[in-house]
Amino acid sequence: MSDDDSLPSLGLVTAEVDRLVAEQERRAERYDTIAGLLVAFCAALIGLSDDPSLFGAAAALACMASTAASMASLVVRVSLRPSPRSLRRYGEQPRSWTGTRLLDLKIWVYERDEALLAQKAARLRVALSCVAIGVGFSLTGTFELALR
Amino acid sequence: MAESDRPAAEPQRHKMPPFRPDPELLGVIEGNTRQLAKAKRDLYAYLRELDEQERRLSEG
Repeated sequence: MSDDDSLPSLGLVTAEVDRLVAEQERRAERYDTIAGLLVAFCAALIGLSDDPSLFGAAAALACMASTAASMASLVVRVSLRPSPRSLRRYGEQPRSWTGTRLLDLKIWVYERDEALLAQKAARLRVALSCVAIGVGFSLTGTFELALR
Repeated sequence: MAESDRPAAEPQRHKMPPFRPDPELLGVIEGNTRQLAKAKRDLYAYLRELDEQERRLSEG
């Protein structure tokens, strides 16, 4: 990659970091998909439930909590990238210097995004727990109605 | 000893420059300018911390 050959493995390292960044982006997208599905599932569960008992109310409450946690997870975005206009300033620098600065930025953003993704995953775990509790209450309510 | 019998020299090592991400290189996708401003502040603070560490190392 570096035509001045001062850092011969820079291209290799950058390609590996790029691969990790792409994997991280896929992970963020997966979390967003799960959060979206949870919101839809909870909306359906609340909408379709006609259980007037305490179990029904508890299930609806748990589903609302799950929706809130899913939305909170969706709010966390990982969207930092090098700015094209700022990149222009590097046009006159040696290739290995520019490559190193870009690599450093990618690594810093990757580490920052990892922290954000951990936050996203934690909120998603809360949402999943709430929906599991909601489904539990809903099923208990259904059984209770059937046994009456 | 003939020239060809000598062990191959170790590959020349090049020194990577110190880790210095450039905050002015940061941009955003999806237009989240608030996140960009915060990230720049964080990165400048991180660089100041790095400078401080270097200064302490060179003094001590």
